[in-house]
Amino acid sequence: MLVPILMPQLGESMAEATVVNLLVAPGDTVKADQDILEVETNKAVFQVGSSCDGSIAQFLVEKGGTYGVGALLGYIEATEAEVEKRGLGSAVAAGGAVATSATVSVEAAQTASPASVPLRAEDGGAAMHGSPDWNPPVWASGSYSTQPEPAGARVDKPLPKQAPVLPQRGTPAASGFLSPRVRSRMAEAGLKEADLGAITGTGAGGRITADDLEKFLFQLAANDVQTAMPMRLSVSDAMRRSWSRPLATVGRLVKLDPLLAHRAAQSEPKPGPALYAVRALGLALREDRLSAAKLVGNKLVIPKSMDIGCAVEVDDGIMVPVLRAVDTQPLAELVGPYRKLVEAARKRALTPEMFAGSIASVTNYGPFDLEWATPIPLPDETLILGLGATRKMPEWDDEIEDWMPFHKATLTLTFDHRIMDGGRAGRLMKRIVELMEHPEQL
Amino acid sequence: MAVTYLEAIRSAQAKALAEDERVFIYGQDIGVFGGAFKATKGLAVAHPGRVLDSPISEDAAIGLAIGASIEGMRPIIEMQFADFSSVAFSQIVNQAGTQFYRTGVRCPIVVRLPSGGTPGGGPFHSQNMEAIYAHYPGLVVMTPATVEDAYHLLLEAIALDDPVIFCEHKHLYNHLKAERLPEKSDLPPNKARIARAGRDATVVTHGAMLHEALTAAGDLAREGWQIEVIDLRVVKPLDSETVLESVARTGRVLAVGENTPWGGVTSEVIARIADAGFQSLDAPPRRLNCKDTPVPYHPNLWAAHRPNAAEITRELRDLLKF
Repeated sequence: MLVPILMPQLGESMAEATVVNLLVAPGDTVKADQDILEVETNKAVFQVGSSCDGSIAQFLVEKGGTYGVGALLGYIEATEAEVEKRGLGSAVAAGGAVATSATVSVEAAQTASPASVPLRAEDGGAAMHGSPDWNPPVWASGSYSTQPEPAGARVDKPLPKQAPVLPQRGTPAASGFLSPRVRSRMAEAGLKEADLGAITGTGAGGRITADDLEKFLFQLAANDVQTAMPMRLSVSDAMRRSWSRPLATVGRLVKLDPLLAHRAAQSEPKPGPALYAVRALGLALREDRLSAAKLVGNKLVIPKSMDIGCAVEVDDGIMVPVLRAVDTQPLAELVGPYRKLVEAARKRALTPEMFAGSIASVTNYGPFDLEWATPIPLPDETLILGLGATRKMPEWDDEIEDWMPFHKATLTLTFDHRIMDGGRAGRLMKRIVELMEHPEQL
Repeated sequence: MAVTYLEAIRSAQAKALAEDERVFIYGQDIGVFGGAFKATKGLAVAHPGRVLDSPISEDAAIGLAIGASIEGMRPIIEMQFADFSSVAFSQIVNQAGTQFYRTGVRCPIVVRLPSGGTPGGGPFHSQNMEAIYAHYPGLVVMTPATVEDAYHLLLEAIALDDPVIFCEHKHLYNHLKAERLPEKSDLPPNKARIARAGRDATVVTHGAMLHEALTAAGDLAREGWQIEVIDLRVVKPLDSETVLESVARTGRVLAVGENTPWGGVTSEVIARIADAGFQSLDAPPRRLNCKDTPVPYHPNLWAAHRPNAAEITRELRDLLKF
């Protein structure tokens, strides 16, 4: 009997995952719970296990392909007794239904009349107005038949002036209007509104017409185009959503000599400078919780638990695991959990509990030798604290009337200006610096 | 030897009379006189006793035809003008339209409606009734726009076991000519015809407006725009598929009808596109009808009242600019 292999729901926010590895081949014998596929979501890499003993009958997926939760990935051939034993009877029946409908839709697609297919960029240069050559489509979500070219290709030229007949419907406000056709084509090509910024609309009031969109897609094909990894898309989406707010950045120097001395006195594993900043931020926010509030509608949502995210660079992206209630645990106790989170992030093995729900983040760009930056908080955070590279710099000492060398770094605080103004941000920074300069209080 | 739209209608009736003895024609002055427009000229002599003058009562004529159809005949009724079919409204929509549903007995009648405006026709002799009859279940409504369709759709109508409202356009009677009548129709009666292929916008129309739309499409072609023109041929049942496929190609649609705008064929076409073709639309679907007034008598007013090629061109320009 054929037991379907389905894409599992791995984490509640997961909608789809990309197959990165097939761990077994068709014909291979598998045991129940044996890993057979490796899939990557925008958060982590997971293994899909076999639901029973048997052999792989067929994979319906390709490496690199992205499939939704519940998608049919393949079939395992199992004995009737095995299916019975594992209680997979209904799965077998449902899988059969899936297979049937999939087959039907493929046939329907193949027999669909090419005449019903709208003109689109994939149809090639000949079909696009005035465009000579055509590269293979890169964003096509399916294959499209080429339209027979109607006689006499259209010449793009301005329409002659005409007597006013009907009022012009377009207004400057219309430039934001996207027609249903443009929207559905965007969805098909995987474009977001933010991607349309480069297009000059030729429609009424400068709106982007379906034609404008097709031409844009066509021009893109002249470049090297590759599919972005889920991690990149996830970061991109988060940054785009964050950027919808008025973000402001303030910065000031922090003297790190006490912190470095304090750190040297700790036993292994020692906390890193970023962890000092995490703890200092947690304590400072506990004293001024309103600074970390979120503005939702006309309500200020004030967090109860000082859960701080820690930005960790990973291959082709960034992950932000979360340290919980950092205000309630002394620095020494945070070292263990922090190291565990960073390791999990680098291995792409974070579980949903490890990365959701931070109220603010800390990012340490000092290791890249950057002195200051204007990092962007996550969409559901109000602020992010940045720690720059440490420099040895002189400071005038009034008492001894001479320059003294100190280790200093710039701390930056980027915040949602709707919620907090410069004064409050300055006071919050002052408190963070105080705490970091008195590490024994951490 | 060219054949006119009117001659095509006469030929189809002659062929039906010759080939099917159940067929007879009934209407005012259609016998020896040959009908107000001469659509039955000579048929009474060629087929004695089967091309019959009716009294001046549309109500009675349709009632008789329904009765005859129950008894196995296939009557063709000529209304002198489509406008006066309203006198027989109850017989058509209540009796003929529901007969098969009520009784299981077929009602194979054809009601020929000389329709649409001609200069000087005025309010009682110019109307288009297809939207009215299409509203009622049980009726098939045909609106031939070409000589070939006038011939073949009328033969289809006579062969059909259901009541057919056959809207023949008076303005096309003698204006429209074809080289010859083809042996067979190139399309089944339930398919709309793509009268001109294009990809920038679609015009959906029927009846005499087809020719205005084709002129408009020709004018715009000189500027490089390719306008697709669809001739519905039969407005009920409506071939949504051809319309939706066309809009999927072009993204823009203008529905043109000669009858008044309120609840007409154009509104039905647009409703279907807005529903099933929403994601194909790159511009709001538009429509163009005659003015929402009685049809004026004076030829100049008449010309301003109905849509024409120039007006369709202007509407299309507006649509293409969106």
